[in-house]
Amino acid sequence: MIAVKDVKRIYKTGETEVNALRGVSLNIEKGEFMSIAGPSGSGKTTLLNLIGCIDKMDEGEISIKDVAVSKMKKKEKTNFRRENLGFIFQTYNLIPVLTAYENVAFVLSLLNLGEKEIKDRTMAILKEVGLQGMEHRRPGKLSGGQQQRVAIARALIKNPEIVLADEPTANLDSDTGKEILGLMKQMNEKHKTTFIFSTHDKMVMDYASRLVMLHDGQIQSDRKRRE
Amino acid sequence: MTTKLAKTALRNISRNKRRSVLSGVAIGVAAMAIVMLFSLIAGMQVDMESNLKSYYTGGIRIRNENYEQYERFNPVHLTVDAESVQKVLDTIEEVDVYVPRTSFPANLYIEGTNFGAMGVGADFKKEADFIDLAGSLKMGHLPENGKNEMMMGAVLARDLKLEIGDKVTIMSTTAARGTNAITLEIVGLFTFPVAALNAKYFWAPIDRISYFLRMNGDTQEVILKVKEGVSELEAAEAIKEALKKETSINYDVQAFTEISGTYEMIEMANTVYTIMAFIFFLLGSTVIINTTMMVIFERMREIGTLGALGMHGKELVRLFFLEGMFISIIGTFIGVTLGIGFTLILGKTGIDFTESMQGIDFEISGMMYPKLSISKTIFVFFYSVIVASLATLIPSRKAAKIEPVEALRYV
Repeated sequence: MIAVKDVKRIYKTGETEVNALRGVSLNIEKGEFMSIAGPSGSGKTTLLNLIGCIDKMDEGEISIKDVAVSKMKKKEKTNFRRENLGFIFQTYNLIPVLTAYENVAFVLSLLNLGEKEIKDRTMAILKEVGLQGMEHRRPGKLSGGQQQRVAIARALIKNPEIVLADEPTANLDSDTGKEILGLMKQMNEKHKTTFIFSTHDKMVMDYASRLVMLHDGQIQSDRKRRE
Repeated sequence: MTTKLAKTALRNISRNKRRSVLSGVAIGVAAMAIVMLFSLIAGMQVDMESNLKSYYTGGIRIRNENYEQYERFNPVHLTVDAESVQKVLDTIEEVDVYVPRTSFPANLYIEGTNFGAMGVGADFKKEADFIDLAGSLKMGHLPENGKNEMMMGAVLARDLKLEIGDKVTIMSTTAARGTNAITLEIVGLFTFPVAALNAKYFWAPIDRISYFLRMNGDTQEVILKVKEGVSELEAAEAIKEALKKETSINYDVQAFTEISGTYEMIEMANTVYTIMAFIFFLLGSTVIINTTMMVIFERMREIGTLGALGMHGKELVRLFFLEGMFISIIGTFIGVTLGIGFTLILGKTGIDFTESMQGIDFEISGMMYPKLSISKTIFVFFYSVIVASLATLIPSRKAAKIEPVEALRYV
């Protein structure tokens, strides 16, 4: 479903060049619950951003559902993200002036769906992530775990085939982190959504069905966990 | 989608209330200042037009065709045959009211010293239909035609230490190019709205002035007002033609807008102030540019998130544009409302420039009454909203070009 071929990414800061990815190749199948792990600076977020079509690579190719996203123009990438990808961020990144309901519904508004459909789907997904009755609370009135639930609902509302989560539990305590991972796993199984995490949290790694370890911009190991 | 963006934009305004208020205030103050400036200029123009028509040139002035050429020599011999001119004016429908007048420089001889002043010969009976002279009297009564009486500007009388009942001998050059003198009794002291008239002028019956200046019953000029809605410029042309046809004399007939250099200056100033006001507002709009830039830096991660979720640059621009527009609408509305309020109050109470206008020979009243122009106020409202809203496009278009990954990385 996702094919990453010999991807290289170099960041330039003044005259300094940092090789964030040094020729990474991997294939990800539909419905995988996969974790990209490694120490800070190993290139996991860079790889996630490239798969998420929000960054440009210097060399290589990425195709998602046989579409070469790496060759797309900015506008095409935006449309692709809008329709096919969900994002979950470490700091939740919810819009503070919108309620939980509005934060989730906003994604469907971008798809120009009708008000009724937006309402039905939003209420359903909020119920699914356990936020029933909290729809009208703004992020400031929600706990970290609740905010991440809103972010999960926001990522899943459009039924994307792929959800990219950058350190989704890093800002949560271990119990809440476990809850969130359980929820994501549940969604993965229920909707057959492909989940790709970047993490250096052992608990997340343990939850993943596949673990790709990166080191200095290269794949160090790639193993599937036995069920 | 636009509704959602508008809702979000509206809520975003309250995220940093102090800054939103500051931006709104900057726009509001600029809008208020422009409304008041336009009202002041409009009031000044109306005031000047009224003063010119009443005390100086009338709406249209009829003079001897050579008068203007020799004006600096006080050519009182270049006269208008008031009687024949008035007969023609009676036949012209556009003419509302007319009066003959003679203005002349004079020396007031007081206890062995000459003081320069300006005299006006007027028909006090006819003037009653032309201007409210009686209403301008501070003390005494109006001079009577046929009598050696005068009314004097209150400031001139004060400066010369003259009072009602005093007799003053006046000297001037006559139409025969000699010098003559006449003694007139002060029967009234006037206060016209124009400071220069009060400090320099005295008015006397035109028949006595005509006799004194040896003008054989003629007058220096006939001034007139046209009926409501009639263009002075067009009427002046028609009157000139009619006079030429009926009297075979080519009179100098001009509308007040052609005569007064100050009025032309005010019209020019109007244009200049309009340009300045709009530039002033552009400067005011830089506040909203600055605010939007700060907002963009503050919400960089949010911009990245929205981009990652699939929001296009155009939609981001629209979001910031709407935020700027809402602040502009609120700021401009309050500013324009305050501007209207202050203008209406000042339009009744007036602004007193009497002291600062002393000694300035302008046809502008000491008390200025700003006049609200509805069309200009509406224009200012829309101009302010549009310019301030468009100003947000400068920084928000830049924000739209930022890659989501860069925005998400922003700390």
